[in-house]
Amino acid sequence: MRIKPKLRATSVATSIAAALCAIASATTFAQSNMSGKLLATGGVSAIEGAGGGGLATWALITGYGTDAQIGANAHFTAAKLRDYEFASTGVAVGFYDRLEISAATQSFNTKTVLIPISAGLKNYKLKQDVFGVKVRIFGDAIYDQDRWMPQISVGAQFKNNKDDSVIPFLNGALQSNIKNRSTDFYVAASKLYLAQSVLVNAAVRLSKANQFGLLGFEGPEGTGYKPSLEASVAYLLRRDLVLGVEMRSKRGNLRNSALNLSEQAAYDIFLAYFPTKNVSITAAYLDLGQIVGALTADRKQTGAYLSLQVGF
Amino acid sequence: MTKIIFTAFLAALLSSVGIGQSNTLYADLGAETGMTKIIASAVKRWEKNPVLAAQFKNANTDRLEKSLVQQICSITGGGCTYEGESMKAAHEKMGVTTQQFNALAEDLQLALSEHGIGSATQNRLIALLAPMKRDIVTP
Repeated sequence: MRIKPKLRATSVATSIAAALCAIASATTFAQSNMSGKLLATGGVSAIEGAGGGGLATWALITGYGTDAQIGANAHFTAAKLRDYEFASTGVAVGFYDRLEISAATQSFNTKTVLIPISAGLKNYKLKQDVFGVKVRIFGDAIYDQDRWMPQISVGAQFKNNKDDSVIPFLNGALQSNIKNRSTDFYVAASKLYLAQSVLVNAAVRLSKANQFGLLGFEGPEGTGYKPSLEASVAYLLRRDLVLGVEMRSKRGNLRNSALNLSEQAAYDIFLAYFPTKNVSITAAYLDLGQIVGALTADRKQTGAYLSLQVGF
Repeated sequence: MTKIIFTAFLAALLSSVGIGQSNTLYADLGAETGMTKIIASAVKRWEKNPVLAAQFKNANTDRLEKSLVQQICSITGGGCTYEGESMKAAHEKMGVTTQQFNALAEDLQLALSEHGIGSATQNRLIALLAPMKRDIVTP
């Protein structure tokens, strides 16, 4: 019954991604060596596809386009956690250092975790599409070195969780009404303290998500928007090498239930390398906190994170 | 465990922000001898950069280099007085784009690297130059 809408959602994601790539390549690929922004200030790709760090959202617009150029990035990210595997693929286009549009598709492989629920759920993947838009409101994180005001952007991310097994199971078990779709809203601030070689980012996100949306939206502990915090601090070791830490709080709406579905904040420590403006590689040690603790010995989901980004 | 590493790293970073440099930036850039070489190398790069070349076609390279060294000396604690034109007056008819401004900065970074200036010192200099974008780039 749900096959049709799922197919439609997937093909929409794919065609938007294809269209973004086409726009991007048609408009500015020829100028890729002349891209405007300073190296590394294009950032890397967050797991939801937006320009930023891996976990924490930045106010910076993705890519190396200046106020007169278009920049774009495609990313592939994989994380291997103690009980799960995560992958994200997506594209983001920045227009005139003002507007950013992004699309990403996430896959969260539950490996053997769900076998106690049903043997058929071995290697079951929770999948989610995320479509994002971000607008720079004011401030300039990079040039305004003589002002205290950070760069401020606002954004929204529409999340479409395509799961048709785990969320219905949880709704049955918890007598709840967890949803498959929701939109997050955020305000992000970024400031580069260039004299100290430090980049600081903070964002407040309003979300109904459980585990980033991978376990749906809303639940027995809440149905409204809750604020969560994202922050990162990065040190520019070299022009092409950035070392930093990120944190992102998760509120969730599935606390106190039989399966121990409580969530904790996520953290990571990353090293991002920008050999050219067209490629970046980010490696991180990641801790996402407990995810379905009752089925994973209440372990924190720690592991390695690797992200490749290609763009201009 | 992660939280401890995270907090320690954060503390280290934030404390590094507060540490004052004992030398003037000008001294760390090699003072007059160092800066003269660095600016000469930067100007060579600007003249060869396809994004910038047109803006330097009619430049008096010798005068430009001397003026730039004096300006950097004046803003980095070198004790000079900058006698040249204001950034606004010097650039208002040039139609400089953000892309060109960034290309200038990147070539300067390359020139600084070429002369052995480390990233942290480079960033201290770029931090002083970055706000000049408002006067240099034509909106």
